[in-house]
Amino acid sequence: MIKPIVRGTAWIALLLSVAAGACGKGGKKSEESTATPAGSAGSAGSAGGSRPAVAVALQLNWTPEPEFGGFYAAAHDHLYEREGLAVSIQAGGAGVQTWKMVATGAVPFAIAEAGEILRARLKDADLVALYAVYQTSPQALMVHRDSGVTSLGEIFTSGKIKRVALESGLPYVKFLQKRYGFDKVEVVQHGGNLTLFLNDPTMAQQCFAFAEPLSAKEKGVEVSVFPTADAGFNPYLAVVITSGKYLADHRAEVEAFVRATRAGWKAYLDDPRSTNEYLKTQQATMTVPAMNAAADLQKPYVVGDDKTGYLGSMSEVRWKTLADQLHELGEIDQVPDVTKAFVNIESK
Amino acid sequence: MTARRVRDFAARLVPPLCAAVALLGLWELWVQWTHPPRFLLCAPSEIVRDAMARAGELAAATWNTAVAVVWGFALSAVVGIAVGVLLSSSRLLERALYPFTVILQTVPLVAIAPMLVIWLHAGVSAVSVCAFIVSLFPVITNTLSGIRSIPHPQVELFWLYGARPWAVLTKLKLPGAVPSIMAGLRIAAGLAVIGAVVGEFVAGELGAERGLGIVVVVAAKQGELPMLFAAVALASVLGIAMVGAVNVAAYVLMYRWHVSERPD
Repeated sequence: MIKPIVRGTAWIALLLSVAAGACGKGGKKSEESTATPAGSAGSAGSAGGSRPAVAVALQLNWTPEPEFGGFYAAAHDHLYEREGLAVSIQAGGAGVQTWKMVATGAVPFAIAEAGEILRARLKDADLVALYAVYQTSPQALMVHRDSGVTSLGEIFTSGKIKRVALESGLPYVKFLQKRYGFDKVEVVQHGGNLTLFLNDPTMAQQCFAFAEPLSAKEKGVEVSVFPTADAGFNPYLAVVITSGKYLADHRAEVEAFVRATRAGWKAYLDDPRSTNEYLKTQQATMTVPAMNAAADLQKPYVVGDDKTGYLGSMSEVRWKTLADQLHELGEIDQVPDVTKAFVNIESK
Repeated sequence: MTARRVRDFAARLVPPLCAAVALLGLWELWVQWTHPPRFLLCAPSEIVRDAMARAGELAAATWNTAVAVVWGFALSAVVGIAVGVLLSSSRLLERALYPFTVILQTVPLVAIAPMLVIWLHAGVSAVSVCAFIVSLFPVITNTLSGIRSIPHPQVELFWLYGARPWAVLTKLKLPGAVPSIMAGLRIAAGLAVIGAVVGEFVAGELGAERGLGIVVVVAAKQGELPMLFAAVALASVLGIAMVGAVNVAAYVLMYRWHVSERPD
């Protein structure tokens, strides 16, 4: 009787060790050293000098595009290297759950959205937000301009729009459903492309205010865009996260990462063109002129209304508002302590 | 005879039920013992609790998916058998068209589902077509193989007695192909559920017609593991019910004469 149990335990131990190996990958990776390209590490920076760069990975939640321009600018302009980091930016796509990768330790840094972070924290995922790219949520709905729709509410209530493509499972979908109701429209799955929308003038589709509308225009369809932030749902989007454990164990690397990221975004806001050329070499699907235009249009969303803060900083009030809204919508079953959900790392 | 049948049925039911109870018990104990993070694993008791709390939503989603599955399966049964019969009528026709039926098996559903939304409506109608596309091939191929497997001397005997082609088809070929057709329908029944759930990932409707596929997508995105498992379990139950229905039909059609439906 003992033998099978011992054998079973050995199997479990083996599985656990494999899982621990996988989970520890991110942390371990960060301790591995990679050579820094000549002429960059020694130039400046707090963690630079002659020390070898620390390798860390940033997992994106979508394909390379101006939404992540600042990160690519930091990589392209060697800003991460100057902070002593060798950052590999990993592209994501539909269905990639970046927060789980951080929570299990597969990567040290990833991009997620604020609602996901609050929800995941209530499911025992120890995530901490570090830097919010979008101070104002660019989440929006677009319609064909000749549909005659003039407001977000009209999309759902006027009868002018027959079909709305939304990504199920995102919190703002429930917000829109509660606010306007889905009785007068057919709400379909957002497939991540414009095929349905371009062919149907009575259709509305979710978008980022500066991305898909440009692609639609390139294909000859003029659109009107209605941001959901205007209706009162304004979570931080494109938020850099790490795990509480990684933050505690690698505080210096985390601070260096945020500093370089902020510098990258400053550079991208100043002049995105060379970064966009670089983005194109990183399998970006948008054209370079479209990315230049998008980078210009997204500026107000990145800088935000609060000019007193610095790039990427987050406020407790905003997090609390979001937590209350998600609770009211039934997306989370309790309002968590939001002060533990984020850390603002100030620039020196 | 009836008592024996009940005994047989119970004898077949008890082992899998015991296995299920034992596995669920072990799973529950493992979770209670190790307390894994809730985004990685949940206990069966949590699945039951969450499913009960949102029973209405799950029941509606199961109903919507079931409607799409039944439509898709019924369509693939009718069209599949008809096409199988048609292809069996001429070797030339079979050679010309059979390769195209293979395309059905390899078509990436996720790629064509958005088109279905344009042509049809999102929700049950588009999802039914997804279930149909995925489950059609095994019906065609098994019908064809069943009819082709009829011994030639039997066909010649029919001809000898002056039977017309229609009589040969309805009195010999189709009845003779029933075991093979039923095998195809059993495969199609399970595939129809997969087709419907995967179809909903892309062509599902998020409002009143939301099915189990949408529940799966939402639960996965939100890290709601109990709801995810509950939806997957309901999809499995739907699959078992569909295969069970085909088994009943097979029994009714074949218990008098075919060895596969005879008691042991």
